Amino acid sequence: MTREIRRCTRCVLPDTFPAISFDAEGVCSYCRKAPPAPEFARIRAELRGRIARVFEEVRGRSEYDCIVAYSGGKDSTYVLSLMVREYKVRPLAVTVDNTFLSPQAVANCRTVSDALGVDHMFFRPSASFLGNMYRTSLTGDVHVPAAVTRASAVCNSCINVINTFMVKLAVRWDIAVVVGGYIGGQVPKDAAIMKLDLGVLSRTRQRSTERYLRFFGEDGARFFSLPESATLSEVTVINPLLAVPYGEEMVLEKIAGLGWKMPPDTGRNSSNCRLNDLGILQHERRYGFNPYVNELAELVRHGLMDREVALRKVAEVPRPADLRDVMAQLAISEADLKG
Amino acid sequence: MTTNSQTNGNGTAKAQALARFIEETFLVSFSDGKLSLDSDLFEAGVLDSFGVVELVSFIEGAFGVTLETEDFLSQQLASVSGLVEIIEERSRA
Repeated sequence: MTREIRRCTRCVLPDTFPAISFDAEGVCSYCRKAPPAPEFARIRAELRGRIARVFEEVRGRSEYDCIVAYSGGKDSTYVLSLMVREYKVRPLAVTVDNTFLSPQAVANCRTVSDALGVDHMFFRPSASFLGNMYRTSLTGDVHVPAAVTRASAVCNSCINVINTFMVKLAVRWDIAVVVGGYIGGQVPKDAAIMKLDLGVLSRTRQRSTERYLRFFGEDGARFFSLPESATLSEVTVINPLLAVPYGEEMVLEKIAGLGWKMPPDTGRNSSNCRLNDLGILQHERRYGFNPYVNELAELVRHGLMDREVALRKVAEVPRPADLRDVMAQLAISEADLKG
Repeated sequence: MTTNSQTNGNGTAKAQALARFIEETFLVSFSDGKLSLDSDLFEAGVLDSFGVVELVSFIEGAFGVTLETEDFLSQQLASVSGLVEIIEERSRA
């Protein structure tokens, strides 16, 4: 029998979410710890100032002022437009093709890059490596508990490959800033601006890389290691959507003018990836909560999304019958997933 | 909280502050017997590369020290007790 899930009366976090507790009014411990609205607004305003100063420092210094990790989804499309139209920098848009990109997402990458007049490139890692990485992620305990609250296992693995590739490209092409399209709840709270010392980063990453290679095989080393830089000592990673005004409807409205269209095959929560729903299904089974619930709760908590909209998004669990094509591409069965 | 390391009074306070931050941020417990202050937090599946950035940011803000490049090479970075040693050394410098 399925037990009824209790949810926070303010956001949408369920009682199955790690380390959660509720007060007498049914408000969760995460809402209680969140900054009040004026403080939240002050933090974001301060971050916007810091982001603007970073771009002032780097503008015109290199062939490209920044790399934008461009998935073709709605949020990174909005970020790419912000770079060109608000921050007036020259980005290089880079899309990692994870072999599950919707054809419409691929088309969106091209259409939007053309509309904004930016240079764009695709990078497609080996399909056999990615297939193995996704299968292992779906069935093994690859990621640390904190990561599991932010995204599904397949998403966390993919994010690691993408982040590493972006920093690697920044080092090789001497580009000081990498920009991502993450929103609150998808990344740690300090991720709006992170200055990464490359020497320190490559050393501290060795330990986490060892862990990934134990799961994914030594063949994956090139996807998780960073090169030495002759010129750059640090790379600044910026996630502007943790600082600028954000709302799903507002974003969709703004990017429609760039020719962006919603893919028909990426489920309720993704706007670029066909694998996403399988990650959600497996996450629900293993941990008892939707991997998007943390970011949706964050949006609701700060008045950036209607609670009912968020509840609808987390209520619908993907059906295995709708994921046959994706499972066939991964050569994985329902029995494998149930382990 | 299981304490295996040799710490003085100040060290104990630092270890407790670090352990509390790690418990709250990385959603693990030092009270269930699986983790101690000497546990290798990478080996135990507590820290990933995002986590290290968060942990170092907390240490530098909370204890007013700046970690040096050599600290990131050190095995001390991997455990609470090792981090306390790094913090105390940087506080004296």
